[in-house]
Amino acid sequence: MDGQAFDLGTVGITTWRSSQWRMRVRRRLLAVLGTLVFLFLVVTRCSADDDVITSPVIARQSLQMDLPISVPAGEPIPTIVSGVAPNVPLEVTVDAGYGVSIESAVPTSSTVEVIVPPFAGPASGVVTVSVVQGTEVARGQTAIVPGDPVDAIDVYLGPRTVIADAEHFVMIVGVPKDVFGNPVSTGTPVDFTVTRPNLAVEKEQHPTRHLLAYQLVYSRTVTGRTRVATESGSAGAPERDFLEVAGVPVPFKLELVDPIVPADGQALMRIRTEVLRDPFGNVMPDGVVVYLDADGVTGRRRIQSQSIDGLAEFTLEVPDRPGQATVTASASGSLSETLTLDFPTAVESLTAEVENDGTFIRVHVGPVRSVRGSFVPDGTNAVVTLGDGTSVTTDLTLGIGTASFPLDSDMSSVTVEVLGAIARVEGVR
Amino acid sequence: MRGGIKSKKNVVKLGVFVLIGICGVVGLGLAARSYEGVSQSEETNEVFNAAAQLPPELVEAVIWQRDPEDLTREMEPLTRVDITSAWIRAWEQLSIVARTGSLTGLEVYFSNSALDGLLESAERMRGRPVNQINHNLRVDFYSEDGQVIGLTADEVGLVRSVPVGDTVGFVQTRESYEAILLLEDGNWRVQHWVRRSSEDRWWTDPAEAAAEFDPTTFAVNGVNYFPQAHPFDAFWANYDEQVIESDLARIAALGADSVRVFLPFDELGGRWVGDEQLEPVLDFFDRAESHQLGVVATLFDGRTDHRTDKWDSDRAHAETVVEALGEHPALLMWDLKNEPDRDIGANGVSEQLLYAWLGHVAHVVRDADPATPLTVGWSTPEAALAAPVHTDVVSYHYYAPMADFDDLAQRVNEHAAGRPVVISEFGLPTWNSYFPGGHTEVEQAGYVADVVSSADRLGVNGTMVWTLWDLAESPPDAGRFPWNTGPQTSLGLLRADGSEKLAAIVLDPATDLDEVPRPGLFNRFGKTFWRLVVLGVIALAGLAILGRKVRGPKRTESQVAALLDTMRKPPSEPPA
Repeated sequence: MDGQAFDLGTVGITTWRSSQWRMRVRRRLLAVLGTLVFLFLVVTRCSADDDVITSPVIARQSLQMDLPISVPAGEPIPTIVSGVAPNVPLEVTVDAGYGVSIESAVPTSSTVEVIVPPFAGPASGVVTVSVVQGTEVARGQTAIVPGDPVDAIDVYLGPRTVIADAEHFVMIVGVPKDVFGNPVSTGTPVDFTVTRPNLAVEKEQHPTRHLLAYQLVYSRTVTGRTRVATESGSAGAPERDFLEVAGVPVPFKLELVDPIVPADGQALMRIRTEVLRDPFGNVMPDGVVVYLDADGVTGRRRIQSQSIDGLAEFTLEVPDRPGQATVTASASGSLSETLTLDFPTAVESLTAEVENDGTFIRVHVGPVRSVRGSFVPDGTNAVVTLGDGTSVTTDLTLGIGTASFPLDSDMSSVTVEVLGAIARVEGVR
Repeated sequence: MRGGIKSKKNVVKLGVFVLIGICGVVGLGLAARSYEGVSQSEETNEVFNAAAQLPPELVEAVIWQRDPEDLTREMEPLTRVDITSAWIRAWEQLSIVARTGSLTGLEVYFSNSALDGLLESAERMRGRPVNQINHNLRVDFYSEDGQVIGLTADEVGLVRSVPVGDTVGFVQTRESYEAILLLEDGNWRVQHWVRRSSEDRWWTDPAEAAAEFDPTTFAVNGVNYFPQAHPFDAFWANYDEQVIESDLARIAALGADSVRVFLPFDELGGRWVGDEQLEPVLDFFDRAESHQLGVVATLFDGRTDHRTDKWDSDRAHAETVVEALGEHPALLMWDLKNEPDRDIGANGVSEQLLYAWLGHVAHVVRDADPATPLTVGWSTPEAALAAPVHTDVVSYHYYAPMADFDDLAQRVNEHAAGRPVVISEFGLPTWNSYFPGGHTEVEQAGYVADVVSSADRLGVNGTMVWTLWDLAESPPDAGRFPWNTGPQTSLGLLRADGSEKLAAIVLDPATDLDEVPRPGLFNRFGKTFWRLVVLGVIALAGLAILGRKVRGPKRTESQVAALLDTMRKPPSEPPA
């Protein structure tokens, strides 16, 4: 067995050193190496700095430019450039407020005239003209002058309502433009014509400044619609208007619309202001809020109304007991005179009696008659006060003005009050 | 035949490997590009209406003048805020239209003639964006009903793009406008504006020369300075008077005449520089003066975003700092920015826009301080050569091999066109570890001496070595690996323990630079890495010898064939 044993070490060494294995390893190593070299080359090529030192780009301002001081809007800008290199393209750029215009040319001599076409839109004001030929540059300025105003002038008016007190004012603003949309030159006159509600006409002229012209239109003392027309040269504008309205009303009076009714707690009564007017006699516009403060035997209350045709009307429920009440109205801080109202009792007669059958004791109230001869309205309250001071409230029976209720205690007296009228029953026991 | 098939297979495998490699590289490139696109804020303008995102620094760049007394209606504070916003957004929208060509959003900020005018010329504006810097506004008219405003913009600072040659240059303009804005459905819109004046400055125009500055006598022999324990961002916040006093005394004792320090933009308060933040800086200047050291003050350190909406903040920052330090006797020179060329591409700032920004700050500093010379510390001579010269002194940094020095230095001298040239940073790290690329202190001394002597020979007006100390920390942007941070913390002339390295003697003007030791033939083997390499080679050789002895002699082909025959023989019959 010793001589025939299979020597793995020997086989391994042989395999390790076989030419095929070596060839295979070499080829694989070659492939990996090749890939690595390739990647290295690609990466280094990608990230390598450019060794070439570039000269700085310097804008040498060596060109000469001749420009007109100003150019009317809509006209081309003639630009004469000297010191240019012939047959080398140059570019003329005009920087205006809203954008640029670019024109290219190839000069045939050292001086060239480039006509920059006009802007189709607004471009007034200072414009900068740059000429660039390679790194040679020139920069100059001219001004585009706006033309005459054309229709329609932009007009803005506000506020749209003003108090007719000769102190407050509205403002009308006009921005006249030329045909290209440029605001016209400073100092261009703008005429404002104000037509008052009474057809009085006022005219004023204001020059444009900071691109616009404006007028303060003070109110007069007559309410109504005032119209403002705007013109500048031959250009017009849409008419604008505003309302002159009454301001704070002067103190006013209150009046009863209907006669005083008895204090039955059910009837309605109406109170209204006199026509509300401002100090100049102008009727207050509709919708002025008026408050009415009432103070009477049943307490205080505030109600609100709005004026229509200068009048504000309030509807109140009469109190449920007789007595005096005062009412005062206020509108925009202005107070009315105080109105005193004296409400009479609504009860003509009130009776109350006790029924004692030995088992139960019952109190019968009524019938209660009103001053108008009928029973008091159903739902009217009767306040019953027993002898020990305890109060019991019960409704009178519908339709017949009566009510009754049992007593479960031994009381010496019962007091019944209906709409301020009182009936007393003694000796209940 | 079989070998042929295998050979073809190997070719196919090789091809597949190469293909995978190409795909990988292309994929990485595409991924990097898309990331770049996402990270640039300007790209998002095409998706969102960027004008709605009011740049906060621009809001601070709007100044309202006092309202005229004859204003018929007083402007409410909230309306002023609305007008500010509408005005800035209108200009921003204008810039977006010029950048993208999209008209979307114009009608939000413009109407009437203004909208007509913009729509008419929008196509021609494309590629010529107008970027705003600052606005100085005044209300001239406010209608009684609060609906119409007449505005005068006495100063509108803009940066206009202009194609020049093969690139896009910039013109910084100061314009004035009259405008009418109207309140329409709750938004203020520009109805009209008319440009009344415009002053402009090309982006390559230099600032005026410093008054009373004599370039022929200008010379510096200095050192860049950070305290050892608190370098970079931590410097001024951890300002220690005793440490500074000691370090400045040490610098003076070494023979230097100047120090270069960095004034970080954000740490000093950005737009709003406070007295409290400037207190240590002033103290540093006072102490430097007491040691007869000049100070090169480097502005805008850490400010890498140079987009135009930041320019007004930069102006305010520079004006305050220059006002505080400009007349200090220790001030030697303003370095407008350290290595600004490294900011190109960041935040979408192009090379030319960076130069325009430098022109802007150069003029701001010059206006605030007419006397002190200006410079820009370019990161390489190549960067200095590529840039227009805005300043009185040209300076650059040099960390490259000496072989290229003479050529580059001469070219920068020519580029400077008679202005003084300073190498404001140079040095060699003595980081020496298991990783390759380390240097010895002898190498450092030789390199520093070579730069100083070559600069002197070529007429360079001065050098400032980086840095005094081996610093405790590396710069925040240096990286995290040992081979990133190691060199950054070992560029000092002094070791962290305070002892001097060989290179420290170069600062002394009395030193004979030829006598400074240079690395010898076996200097390489003084480095840890190369010692390891030598040890490794010895170890591998030893292992190879040992392995051969263990395996025995190499077998020949015939011996291997005989062994195979032995294996193929059938086993002999066992004895009966």
